[in-house]
Amino acid sequence: MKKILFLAFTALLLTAALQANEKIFVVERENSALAVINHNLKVNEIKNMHNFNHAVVKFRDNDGYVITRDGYVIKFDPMSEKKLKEYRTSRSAIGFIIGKNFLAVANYDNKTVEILDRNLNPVQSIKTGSRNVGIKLYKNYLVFACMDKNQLWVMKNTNVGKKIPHFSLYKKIKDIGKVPFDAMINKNLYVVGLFNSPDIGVLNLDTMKYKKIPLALGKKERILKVPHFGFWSISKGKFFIPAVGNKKVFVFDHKFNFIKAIKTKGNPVFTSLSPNKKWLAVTFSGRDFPFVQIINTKTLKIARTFKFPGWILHLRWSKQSKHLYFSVNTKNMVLAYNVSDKDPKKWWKHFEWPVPKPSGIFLFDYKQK
Amino acid sequence: MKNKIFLYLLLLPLILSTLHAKKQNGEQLFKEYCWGCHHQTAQAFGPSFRSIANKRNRGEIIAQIADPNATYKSLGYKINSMPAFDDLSSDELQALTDYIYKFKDKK
Repeated sequence: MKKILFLAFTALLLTAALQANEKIFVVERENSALAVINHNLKVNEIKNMHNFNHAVVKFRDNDGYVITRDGYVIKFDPMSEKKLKEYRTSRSAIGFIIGKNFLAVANYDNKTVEILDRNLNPVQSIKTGSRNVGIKLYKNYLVFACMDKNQLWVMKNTNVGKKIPHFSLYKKIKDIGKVPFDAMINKNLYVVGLFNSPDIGVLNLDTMKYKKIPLALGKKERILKVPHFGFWSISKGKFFIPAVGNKKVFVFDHKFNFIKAIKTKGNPVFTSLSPNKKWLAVTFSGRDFPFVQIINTKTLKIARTFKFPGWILHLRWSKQSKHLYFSVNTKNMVLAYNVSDKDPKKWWKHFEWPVPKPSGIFLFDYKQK
Repeated sequence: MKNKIFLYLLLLPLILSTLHAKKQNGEQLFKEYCWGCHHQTAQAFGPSFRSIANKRNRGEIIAQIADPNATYKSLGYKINSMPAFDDLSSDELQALTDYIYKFKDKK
């Protein structure tokens, strides 16, 4: 009976693997290359990608785009796995978003937001006089935070429906708190993290009203890595927000009523929700880089603490299969854990891929249109 | 004399490995403490090591690492987001400063 169950389970896993149409792209941080993993094998590397520290990859339709630490935007074909074009927007880029007919790149240095068309031709340069972070889109608005000015800028596309967009300043919110460093967006709420204030900021993009939500941070500890916000830490009823300089993940409801501060192993960097929203994976910085904790989003308790043999710089939940991927940077490998069991303590290492100095993991869905 | 030369030859790998260890140490310290906010050559959340090496002397670099709240204004920064690394030893501060100076522009 056990044998039959084992065979059935193996067949199920194999079927799941065969049906998966998810291509994994991994940033090789020190290697100016993008590793490609397909059908559970490392199959390719896209090379000559410039300075790949903190590189960010995004997809729209069948186009892939990357921004690099040294300010390049690179367009690539995720199907043929070939680089198509590059354009340098600055000396240091930090984030970007892809609209229907444009890209908007937030730069650290020089102090601009650059608008390009989808083929990387420059369209508009927005001079902000600040490093710019947390760039998001909402309806016809482009929203970002000016780190050095403690401001939010809302730009409005005045060329809607035309081939090329044009953004004009619609609203500037001043004195939002000290040193905005990243943001996330949920429907009409733009939520910005503040590095030097014990608050988060929330801008309602329909009313343009801004308010600060105080965080019970306690004594601030030394911060060795700036936390990342992301859409992936917003569940149906809750926001999960990594604390700055404290070993906690804050939980709020969608009206920003405080629910809980979950004590964690270290200072959190990424908080990433599983596709079914049942689990939140949390990574850490400093001496706690090798740890990842899994939080049950219902009970808000730690369900498992992983300790890896090297530093975890990034992780990503598969959208197509029951896997959680980890970049083990200092051990030159990417791991896939099978997470099909209801109990995270029973999740097990399924695949291991050799990737030099891996960091960001990004997924391309074949079917996406 | 022959014995002395033999001793030097014997110690040479040790001396070389110590020097190498010091170089390694600076990079390791960078990865342990700095790389979450600084990049060697590009502006990140903090200034690049290249820009620091190009405009600061050793004393300024070490003072800023040890107690940035006390130094940032005199070094011309408007705000400070950097934590104090007041627990680093003299050797660690020197190794880190050596590492930062590796990115100074060649004249």
